[in-house]
Amino acid sequence: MSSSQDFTGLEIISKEQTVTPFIRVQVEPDAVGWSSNVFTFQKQGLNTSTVLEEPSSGETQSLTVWFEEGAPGDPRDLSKIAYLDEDFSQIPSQIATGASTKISVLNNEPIMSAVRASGGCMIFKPTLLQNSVYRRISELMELAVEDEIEMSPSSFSDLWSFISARPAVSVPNVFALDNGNFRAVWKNSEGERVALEFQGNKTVGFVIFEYDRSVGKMMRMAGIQGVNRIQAQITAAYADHLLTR
Amino acid sequence: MNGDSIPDSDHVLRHVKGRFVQEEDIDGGGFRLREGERELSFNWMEYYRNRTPDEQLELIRKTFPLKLNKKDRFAKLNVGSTKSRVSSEHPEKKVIDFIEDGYQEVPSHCLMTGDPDVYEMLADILLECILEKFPAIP
Repeated sequence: MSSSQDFTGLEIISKEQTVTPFIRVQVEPDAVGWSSNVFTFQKQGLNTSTVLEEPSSGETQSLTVWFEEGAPGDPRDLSKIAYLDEDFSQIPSQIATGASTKISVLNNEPIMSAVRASGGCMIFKPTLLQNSVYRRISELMELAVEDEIEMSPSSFSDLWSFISARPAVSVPNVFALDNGNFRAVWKNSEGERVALEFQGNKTVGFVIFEYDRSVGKMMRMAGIQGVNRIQAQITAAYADHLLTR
Repeated sequence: MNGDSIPDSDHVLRHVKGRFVQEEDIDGGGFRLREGERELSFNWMEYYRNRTPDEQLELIRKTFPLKLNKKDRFAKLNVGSTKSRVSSEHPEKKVIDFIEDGYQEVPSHCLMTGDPDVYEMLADILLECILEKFPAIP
């Protein structure tokens, strides 16, 4: 199968973005694919929970993430997510329409080596979490446009990486702040909360409220942490349960 | 008179943009300073002291200076209990006050005063003080 599309230099950024046909590319349908939440990885057979783990440090590189809408149940849902190396100049026929954005990924992240090993392109079936967050972000993007706010691609990148590395996490509420950052909030009916403002450039502003039953008081903390350390911060605050309910 | 504290028994409304509303939940982002704000803006319901709460809300809607959208909300807080909760629950024991700041077009305008909150925890504590939420556009 082949298609004619210009992929080089695409950066976007709006779900209305369309791709102008330009380059004839050869697509090999058997090269990559997906089923359930385990993508078909022709060479090494990794699964999402392995591939999307977070690294501890390193230099960053760009990946293009392609969001293909039009799931069978609801056309606004995601049907596929493709991760493409920035040098990958072909667009698979399965993801010919939809929205894309570039995310900054650390060089030593498992996703980077997986994408490289797969020839520059991997396609996943989205998790429920990814689908829910994507839909919410689509709504927020429209509201941000109304308010003349430009949302931060770097904030989105960090939020997306965070939830993608944790497929079992419960769906957070997500909000669009005046400064262009996305904020994800997990909370319960007891007033406990974990609120993470993805500030871009791999930093997170956090507010954590956790009720300590041994002293009968809500413990409250706030600060800034690196995205690679925020999970440890949440764990240290005894607030992991808020993300997994 | 502008600068005077609003009585503890009174109530204020905070306009919250639709970006900070998801179903019934409001985010602390709606209680952060907006661009150009030095102190958090509210509207004092009992400025219209002889009106019912519904009439007070409607008068505030009518005089509100920003464009209101369908998904926006007004969050209602009691002045005294909010001040008390912030000072007791914020780790830095922050002291806030609500003061009159009305002007001709928006006579009910008031401000929340207090020291800046570097990590924005105060905004999330204010969420715990919300008594009711109203659509910005009925």
